[in-house]
Amino acid sequence: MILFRLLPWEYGVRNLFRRPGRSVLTLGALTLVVLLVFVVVGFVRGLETSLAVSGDPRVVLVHSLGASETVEYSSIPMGHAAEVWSTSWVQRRYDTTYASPELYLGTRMQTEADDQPTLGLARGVKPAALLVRRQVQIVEGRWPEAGEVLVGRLAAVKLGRSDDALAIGKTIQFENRTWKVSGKFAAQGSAFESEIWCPLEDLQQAMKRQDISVLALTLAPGATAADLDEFCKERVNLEVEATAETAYYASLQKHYGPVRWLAWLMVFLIAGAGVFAGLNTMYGAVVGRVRELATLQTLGFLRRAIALSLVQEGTLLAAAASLTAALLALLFINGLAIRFTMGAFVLRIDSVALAVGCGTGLILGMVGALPPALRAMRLPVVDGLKAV
Amino acid sequence: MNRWLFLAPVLFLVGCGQSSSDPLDKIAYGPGQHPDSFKYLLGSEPADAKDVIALRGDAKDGDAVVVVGRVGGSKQPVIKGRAAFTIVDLSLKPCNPGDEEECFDFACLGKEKVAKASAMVKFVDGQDKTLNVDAHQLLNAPQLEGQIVVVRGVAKRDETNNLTIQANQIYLRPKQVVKATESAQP
Repeated sequence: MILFRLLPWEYGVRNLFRRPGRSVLTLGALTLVVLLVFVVVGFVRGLETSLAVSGDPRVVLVHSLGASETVEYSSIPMGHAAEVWSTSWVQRRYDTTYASPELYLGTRMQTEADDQPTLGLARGVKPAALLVRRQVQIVEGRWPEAGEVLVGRLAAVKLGRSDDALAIGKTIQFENRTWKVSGKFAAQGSAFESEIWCPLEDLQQAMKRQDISVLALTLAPGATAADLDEFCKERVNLEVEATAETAYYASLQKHYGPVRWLAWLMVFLIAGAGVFAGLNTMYGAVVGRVRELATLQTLGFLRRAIALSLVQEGTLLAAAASLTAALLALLFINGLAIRFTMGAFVLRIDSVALAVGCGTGLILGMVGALPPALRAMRLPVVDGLKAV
Repeated sequence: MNRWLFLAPVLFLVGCGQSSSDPLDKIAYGPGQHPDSFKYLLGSEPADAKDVIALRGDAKDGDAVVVVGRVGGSKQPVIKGRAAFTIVDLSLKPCNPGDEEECFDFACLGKEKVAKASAMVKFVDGQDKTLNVDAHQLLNAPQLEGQIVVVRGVAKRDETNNLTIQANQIYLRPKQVVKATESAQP
């Protein structure tokens, strides 16, 4: 409950328009700070979402012993994989087994327009991959036939090329072969979107390999990842182990933990810099208004009422800056694709990012206005009235 | 005297943190223990335990066996939510010498060598179905990975000669004894 007379709300609002130049500059600085916060939070949220949606709780990955975090180095003979997918814990429907043997690797790729190859991600798959990888949808073109590839929505970004470089009908070279793009797929923002899929047999022939890297299986109703893990560990001769796909991506998230912490640290640093910028601006604003503030005191307004009015001005500016930054972030940053070691992901300005960004902006406004307001209030009224 | 009273809780906590003189007390009667663990945990080490590699060579299906090994062979040798885990032969050396307790996956030795020195241990119910309880909880051993265990049970061989031990009883060799024993070995 407030037990003192406040300055009118309009007073603070009008004050912002009395010095439009200063207000616009402060608004611009705060918008920039909040926008930077949006970029960093969007980066963290994009990375987290990409890894989180990649794991399906019904899918188990079977890989060779010791390759639970690096499936690209895993190698399973096809015969061993067949023993695993023939167990009763794997889903079957109309004589179709929900098992996707895959050969996964990072390799040098070169599009038609490239002089130099770059590192891309290839996955040799069979059509059953679409049964197991439920998030994958062909959005353009068709399933690849021999010598063709299906490219993920972010595959071009992973290669550092434009979307046109991997348009349908274009070609790409890897593993000493030229592959024609037959279609594009989306996968709900998961890590698969930065991959290039081709027929498993073709990739095996190109690489002169007969094994696979990973066997992705959909669990039968009632079965758990532990059932398959127990089977694999009991069959020591298979030299494989099973990991729930969610656990696999959770372990990858753990690897990127330091990156996430670094990003959050950047949020704090940017916000800290923003607070100092705000402080500086507000100090300037208050110093120029010492006589006005002293006059308000002589009119009978308490110091805390005047301080509150100054905080109101700062908060209003910060709120306007937060909304402007949020609008810019949604228009220009949301969905922006970023390359990283494991593939590519898009910056995500979701509800969490909006809450963090706007919250940071409002705190900047409030915290930034408080110290100069308190300082101004310490000046004796007589000195304030005489100030030039 | 009152000024020393603030030390009382500290001294109490220190007292609680001290290990019991007999490590088996902690294993067999620890807080939060699974009610069935007393059926399986042994208070003393069974004699004449065979190594995993030796047992893989000569155990026949249905033989009563006693085997000694280290819980390991992969990054997660204990199956999550199941009373089952893999053990490896004690002759396997860790990647970094002196790292016996932390290095239990023996990844640097190669999967073939590890597989040839591995066996599975599981606790089953009357229908030979693995108990649906995590081995950590059943054996009251939060850090079972890397632990040396002596298992008494029945050997089971499949068509590809893999070895599984359906455990009846288990002895968890206290870690300080492990170190003393191992350091005494040439």
